[in-house]
Amino acid sequence: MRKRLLFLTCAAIAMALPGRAELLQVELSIFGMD
Amino acid sequence: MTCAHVVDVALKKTDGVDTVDVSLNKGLATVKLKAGNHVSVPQLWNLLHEKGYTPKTTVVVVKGVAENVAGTARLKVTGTNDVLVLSADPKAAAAFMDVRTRTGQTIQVQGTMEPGKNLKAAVPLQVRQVRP
Repeated sequence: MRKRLLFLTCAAIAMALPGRAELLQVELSIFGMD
Repeated sequence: MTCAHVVDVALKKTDGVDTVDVSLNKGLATVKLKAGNHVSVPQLWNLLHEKGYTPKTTVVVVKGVAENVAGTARLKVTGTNDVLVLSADPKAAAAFMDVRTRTGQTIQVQGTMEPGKNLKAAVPLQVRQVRP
């Protein structure tokens, strides 16, 4: 039980950390659009 | 229904997409993504391909942790668990050198990706600009 609580707490902290990496913006050039 | 509308609707339906701006004149779709998204560039290329369009050069702004594995500069994108291989843009060699000095740091990289014949295949991100 304690281990599970610790795991859940760590997971919650990791999710809330700033600087989470991801795609922010994408500019797609598209051929064939008219 | 116009082509721009088809592209706009398809991209907006993608989970993690925030806003879409399609310019018919420029042949360009600008996609802004929500925080914590799991979207990948090949995923968007495949979506366009499924709708009958051919994706071309793509400008990407991405946040991740700089890595150096066996001399190869990479960016670990935790939102998708993707690892992007970074390469030098001939017009911005200094930016690529800058990435190499930031191993282990979270950085924001702007660069370009060129889709290959296999849209699902990983392609390198050519680094143009780096921000801490």
